[in-house]
Amino acid sequence: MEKPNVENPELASMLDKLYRPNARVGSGSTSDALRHERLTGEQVGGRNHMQKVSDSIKGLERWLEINKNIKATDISAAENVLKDLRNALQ
Amino acid sequence: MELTQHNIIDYFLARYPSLREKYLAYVIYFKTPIPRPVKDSFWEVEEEEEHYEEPTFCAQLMSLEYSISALMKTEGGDEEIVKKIFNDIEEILAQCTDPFIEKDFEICFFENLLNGLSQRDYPIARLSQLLGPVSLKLCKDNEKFWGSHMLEC
Repeated sequence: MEKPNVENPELASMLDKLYRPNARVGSGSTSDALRHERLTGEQVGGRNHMQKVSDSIKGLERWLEINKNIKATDISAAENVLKDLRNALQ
Repeated sequence: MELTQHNIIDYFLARYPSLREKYLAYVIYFKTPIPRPVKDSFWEVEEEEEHYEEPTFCAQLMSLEYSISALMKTEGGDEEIVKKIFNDIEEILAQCTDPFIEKDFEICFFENLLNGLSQRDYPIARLSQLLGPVSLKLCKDNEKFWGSHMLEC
């Protein structure tokens, strides 16, 4: 999925780290990196994105637990990215 | 002192105390609270300190990157400290014999750094001047994977 636009600066920073601008791998998301690695066997210098995806799931889950009173559209954006990360890990 | 996955972060936070506040504010999101056991007695109401599972090395590096990139600004940043930090990273990577450290630096640290550059309008050419050869190679390997070619600009 494409990177969603969010207003909360901390969430924006978290999501920035999960997307590579102008990438040729999927949408440039970390989730797509893992999907690409699984599909093609290609990795970054023999390394894969599994740990980063797993840690990012934990990070976004905890962020959502702590930040319950922010704008609904930001929460929804974070939940959608979380869903995408979980999907990539399955 | 040999730097390992278990002491690299402490090394940076001790050497560069200005990183600590941002690091701690970010790493909290990667700490999973350990559920408290169910109390046997109704009377055991004493408050306990919350316990957490320690974040992985990858999560710690993502938090370190968050704290370092906060110092990297087009104007008014702390370029001298940033330069020293990247020198230290280069030394660690050049001497590193643990392949997991290099792997995690590439995907959890440098990839995050590169992903966030354009949002902060930080020029890629300025970053590449801060990186030593080993760090630059890891960034270029990462670029090759993504096909984004930022470092060739």
